[in-house]
Amino acid sequence: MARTDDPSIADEDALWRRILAHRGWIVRASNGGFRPSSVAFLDNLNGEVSVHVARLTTKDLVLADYPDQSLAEILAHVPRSLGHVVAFDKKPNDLSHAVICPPPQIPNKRRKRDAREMAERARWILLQPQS
Amino acid sequence: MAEECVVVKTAVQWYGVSPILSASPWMRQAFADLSELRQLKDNWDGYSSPAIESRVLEQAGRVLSALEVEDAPSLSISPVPGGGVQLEWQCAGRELEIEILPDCTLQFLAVFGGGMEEGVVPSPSIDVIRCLFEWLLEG
Repeated sequence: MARTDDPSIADEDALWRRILAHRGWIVRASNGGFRPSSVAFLDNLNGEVSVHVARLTTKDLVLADYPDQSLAEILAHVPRSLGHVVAFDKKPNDLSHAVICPPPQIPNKRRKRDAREMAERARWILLQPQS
Repeated sequence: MAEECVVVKTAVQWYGVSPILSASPWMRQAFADLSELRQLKDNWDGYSSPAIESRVLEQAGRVLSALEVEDAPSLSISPVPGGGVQLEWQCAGRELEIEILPDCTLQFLAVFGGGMEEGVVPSPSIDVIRCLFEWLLEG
């Protein structure tokens, strides 16, 4: 069943996404710094990208089991502006867990472009040193 | 055939093998990076992603083998949540992402200046892959 957008997540809510400690997941940005790769905002199972609503968690909690990963943030209005749904998907051990869901009929010409757009608009909460 | 191989192809189809020892240094590194992805176990991203299937890695190898260049721009090879692989190049203001999905189909995103072009690569079309890569190098 398709998810519906959750108004209890405000447009200005920060959504945190863990960024894998893999050299391909952190790439050079056009400004010379680093940004997450678009793969961080793709999912090939059901399209849902897991995130954490920042006001309901802490950096330490999100990274507790993944101390080598980085942490990126986008505001909820970014995926919404691309037509994606943002909805809670609370877990017993993580009430901050939410998902970014693509539109049900996302056209082939939007899937990667949207992920790239989100990656470019992400900012770092924690960027682990790059080797 | 015991030794490690890369797939080579004709103009319209993948076929045959050639020793990886004859591949250029960037391609050897790329195959080493692909090989590393075989080590990823279920839940490798902490968000329940499955391990990447061998056929996806093999398809990525076929794409790389289609690029008959001695030197290539810096390449990032990334696991994609849900079981895909992405090949990502940046070259003089142009960027190219080629993603191998779990069903082995290919999607690409070309980024230039302020624009982006996304599409599906007819499978398996070497001509399209080469055309995309030539576009990247012309940047």
